Amino acid sequence: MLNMGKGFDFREFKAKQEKLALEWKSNGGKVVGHYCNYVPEEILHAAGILSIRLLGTTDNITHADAHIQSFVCKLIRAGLDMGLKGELDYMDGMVIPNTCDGMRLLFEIWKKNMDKGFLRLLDLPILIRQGLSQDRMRNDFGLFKRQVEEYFGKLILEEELSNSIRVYNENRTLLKELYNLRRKEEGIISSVEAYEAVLASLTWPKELSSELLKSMIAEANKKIAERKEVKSKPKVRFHVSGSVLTDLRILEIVEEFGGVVISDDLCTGTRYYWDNVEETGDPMKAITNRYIEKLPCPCKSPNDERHDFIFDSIRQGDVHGVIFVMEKYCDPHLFDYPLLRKQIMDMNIPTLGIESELGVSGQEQLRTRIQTFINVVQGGQ
Amino acid sequence: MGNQSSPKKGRALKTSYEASTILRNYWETIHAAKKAGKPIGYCSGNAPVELMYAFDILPAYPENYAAVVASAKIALPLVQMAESKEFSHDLCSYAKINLGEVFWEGKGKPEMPFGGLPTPPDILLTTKIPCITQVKWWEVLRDVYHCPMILLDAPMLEGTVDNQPSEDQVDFVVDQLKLIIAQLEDFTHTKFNEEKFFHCLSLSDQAGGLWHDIIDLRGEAVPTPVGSREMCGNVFSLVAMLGTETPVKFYQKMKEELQYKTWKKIGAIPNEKYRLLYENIPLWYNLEMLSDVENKGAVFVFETYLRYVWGGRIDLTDPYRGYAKKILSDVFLNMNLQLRYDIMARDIKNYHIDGVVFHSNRSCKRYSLGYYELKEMLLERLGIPSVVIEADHSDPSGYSEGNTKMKLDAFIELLEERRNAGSRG
Ligand code: SF4
Ligand code: SF4
Repeated sequence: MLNMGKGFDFREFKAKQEKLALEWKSNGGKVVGHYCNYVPEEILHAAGILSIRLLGTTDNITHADAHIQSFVCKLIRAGLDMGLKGELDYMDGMVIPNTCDGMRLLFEIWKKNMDKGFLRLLDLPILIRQGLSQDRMRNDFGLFKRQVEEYFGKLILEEELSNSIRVYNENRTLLKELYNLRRKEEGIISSVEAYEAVLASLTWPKELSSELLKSMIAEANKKIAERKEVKSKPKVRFHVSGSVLTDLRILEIVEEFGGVVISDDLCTGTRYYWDNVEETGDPMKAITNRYIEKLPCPCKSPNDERHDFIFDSIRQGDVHGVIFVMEKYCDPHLFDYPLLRKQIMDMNIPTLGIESELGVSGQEQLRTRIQTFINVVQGGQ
Repeated sequence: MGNQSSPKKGRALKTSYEASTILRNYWETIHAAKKAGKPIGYCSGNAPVELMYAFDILPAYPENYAAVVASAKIALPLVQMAESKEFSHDLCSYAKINLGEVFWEGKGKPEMPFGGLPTPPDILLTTKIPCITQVKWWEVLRDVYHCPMILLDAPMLEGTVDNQPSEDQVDFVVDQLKLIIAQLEDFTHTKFNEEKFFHCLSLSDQAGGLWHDIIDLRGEAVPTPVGSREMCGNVFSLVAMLGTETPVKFYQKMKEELQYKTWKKIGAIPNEKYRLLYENIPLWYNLEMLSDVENKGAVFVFETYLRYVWGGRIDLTDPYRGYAKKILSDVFLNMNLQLRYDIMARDIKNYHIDGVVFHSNRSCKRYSLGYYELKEMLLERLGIPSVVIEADHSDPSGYSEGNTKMKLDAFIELLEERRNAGSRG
């Protein structure tokens, strides 16, 4: 189903995702787009809606520049551009959470220019480890559920919600299984494929994504059983840190020079699937708890849990280097970066910082930088 | 905020001369307190400073201090130092200036005005009301100084017609304030003195009320008695000293002077022709920009930055809720676009404004995004022209003074043409 090994092309990926969405629609389904890891997709799913994470585009910005300044991350500008160009017209709605300042204002600009369908701002608390925030988040999610019900004319039954929780949990569990496999059996699944599978989970019908994941895992297990994998030379293992990673060519280059990515704290990675929802008890309460307790994004405070997650990953002993892929203009990540990087270096782990705008321009230069970095890491091994 | 090194004519208001004394006293007091071992808190803009005063913690403002540094025209080396420590060029320049000071290494550090921020802070108080930058920046400070950090979380105003937060939103902030009070009790090992807090709120409300009167007086008066540049230097005590007597006395005096001047119709400039609204944070390193237009008969009579970022009234009959409401509803950056427009439209009318100057500030996304929409709305719905200048509030690198001048000149010409066309028609 995926491009396996052929080289990653985000355009192709997007075309496939759109095709799936249109199929979904032609079967009478509704489609809602969203940004960020903090939108409770289970609620949308329970209403029979396909929820799609907006990942932007590699195309040039043509329409958005007249509406938003260029000192905002490309994810925001690209999404707006797609909307203005009519590329998102197949969507029945859009949910924008109040995470960073750019997102918050994006909602305003969206509303002014494309106030149609189910357009909602999700204004969630920024403090995550606090009883008060938990209550507020439960209220906000409760309100969101009622808005979905009213707009789409569909009462969400508790049973349906529980079912959606199971569907999402299954998907997340599979992604985690894939993660563990990659980590244990290095090279058995390519980094590109693994991250493409996460992008698919973010944008495809969940059931389909789970099918794909199952077959990928079965395939990998078969290879292991047949001991097919060749361990020609020890690979250099990396952790990747950042927000969205859609330009998987970066991973291709890493692999080309003998590297492999075995862990990450990306929002198109572990931050999306690390935590499950409790399957017992009141489903809305369970959903709230999951989103408040999940591996946090730097848009939430305090920020140490994400950092600890990275340190833990390194302490497991098999990470040789950390590659930061930083979206330009992304304040939350860019504020964390200097001290986080220093702490990692203090653990004797080399780091590489790559600036991205939903992709890296200057592929040749990037290749050289990654190659040099891998040499440095190998030298230090 | 001390525009020390720029050439200035005399001040339009006598009271304005007192601003620098207030500033100096504040810095002397805070350095003396630090020496005497009293707790110092680093506060960010719109954090509940009245609570700090109620607990006898003196607040220092890295943000405001960064503005002082920028207006003393010494921001650049600090910004560059922060960038050399891997803080991105694209972060808010207030933060970069402060982090440049915090992480300074080696020689060549400029002489810091007022002896620098007192370090280390004993506690950090911040909020996300204006922006997420303040939260992220404070987390860096927390990691550097290893001291407690308190964060006031707040929902955004969704733009109800009367500009009031919902009851739920108010409850949420009140509950948080109570939690913060408990945290401060722990920190200071003292019992919270509610009476003292209410007294601070009352002083804060008085200062807020006087400030609003001042803005109204100078905005409604034709000609206006005082322009933006001078008023930017008068806002400090409102930023940092709400909850004390100082701003109340200062603004009382200023109000009286303004009453006299408006009654006498004494204008800030001899021949006032065009009245402008300034939107966003000023260019602290180039405050001249605000007064240069005066040579062409234009004057800035109103700024959302001065009116809707600092100060505000508090309903003292219900102090906690009143305070929470003020915190939520009086900050431009916490409002949605429609509300910002409605407020601007009202003020444009009340203050007889001819044109708007938007400063598209690459340092402050929360303030600046949406300007193209507002620009269009103002023109389409009110026929009010505007111009967007691109700059940064405190990082002078990349700023083109020539460009800004050209844009502003052209804008004033446009106002002139419109006026001529109007009087002919
Ligand atoms: S990538 Fe960063 S700046 Fe862009 S939306 Fe996400 S958190 Fe905000
Ligand atoms: S200038 Fe803007 S981004 Fe910077 S601290 Fe102030 S409100 Fe936040």
